[in-house]
Amino acid sequence: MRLIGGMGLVTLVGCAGTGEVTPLRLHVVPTGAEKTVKPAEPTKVAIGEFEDVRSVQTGLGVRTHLWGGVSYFDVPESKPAETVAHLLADYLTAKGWNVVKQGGIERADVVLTGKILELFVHAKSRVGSTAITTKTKLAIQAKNSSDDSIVRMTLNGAGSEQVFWFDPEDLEEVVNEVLADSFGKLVQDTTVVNRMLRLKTP
Amino acid sequence: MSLKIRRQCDMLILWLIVLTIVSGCGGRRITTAVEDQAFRPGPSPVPVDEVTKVVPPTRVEESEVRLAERSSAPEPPAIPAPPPAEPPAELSDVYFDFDQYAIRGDARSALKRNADLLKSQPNQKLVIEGHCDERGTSAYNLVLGERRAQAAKQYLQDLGLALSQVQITSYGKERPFCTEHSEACWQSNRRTHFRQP
Repeated sequence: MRLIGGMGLVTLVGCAGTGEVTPLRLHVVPTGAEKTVKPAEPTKVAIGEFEDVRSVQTGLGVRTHLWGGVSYFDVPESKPAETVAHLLADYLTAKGWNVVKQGGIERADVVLTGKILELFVHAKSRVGSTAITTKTKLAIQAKNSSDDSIVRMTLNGAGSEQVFWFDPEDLEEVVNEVLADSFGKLVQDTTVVNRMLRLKTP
Repeated sequence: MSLKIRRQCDMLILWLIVLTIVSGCGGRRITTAVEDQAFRPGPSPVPVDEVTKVVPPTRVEESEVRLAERSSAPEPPAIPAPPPAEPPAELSDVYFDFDQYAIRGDARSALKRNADLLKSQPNQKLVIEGHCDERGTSAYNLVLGERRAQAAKQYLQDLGLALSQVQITSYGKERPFCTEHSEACWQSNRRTHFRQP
């Protein structure tokens, strides 16, 4: 009975929210070797401004605790839009794309900008498990410098996982995978023709 | 409660806890759906209601300009000179209509002469520069200039010029021949120019 009582106590310890903010370290590029999908042409891509147009722009989400109360998740310096832009640059670089600094010496062939329509995480703790859910909605626009044409894409990402012991790293991994999946869709559904980004024809 | 029943209760509770832990670990599910995709082509160049046809600068004028440029250069040495930096002055520029890259009738004869000259010098490499007038965006004109150069290259190749001899480039509206804001000036800028690499 002592063993059972001890396990129960451990399970319940820390289950009340105190309103603290947990910073999430988002990092979409996997550490392991990943197959690169370089565009066929040496296209220079710049990441322009990403705008946060979420209806609620405070933080990234909440954790509702087993015994009541909440705590919050956020990215360092509370700039999710900048974070997403950096993550996209990291992702494309890892995929072998030539990502250049916007406004730098090199003139970009394609400038990617975007709007964050949704970016929300939720961790709901219950007896014996915590359900992690995340939802993203990104509107990404690619403007081709050579002909001023524009490719637009709206990507809805979602992820979920149930864990027994909640760890913020689990949440980070889910968000990272959802964003990487969305960025991957952007890469999959587009192609480069004469240094211009185009939608792949079905 | 006997010791045996108590142990059975403990085991049952332990199994319940284990079951709870196991059920609390679900697999990760990640999905992405494309809500919409759209492509919007670039803007068309500024339309012109009336285009005045003008005669492009003649070869004589071109030659005069180039001769004037050369006159400021130092005198060539007595020993045989290296190949000139410019192709022979007889290589004519080719002119285009506004917002067009189709080879005009007057350009065909000029290109034919150019092709004949270049075929007589099979080792002569050539760069075809595409140029545009000042109207329209820089990006649009870069593409238009490239298409003009490509059209001239294709025409030369159709006349039997070797593919390896010719390269193309585009300067769009960045290197105008004439800087006035008149139709005559614009016409002289809508051209392909031929030079050595």
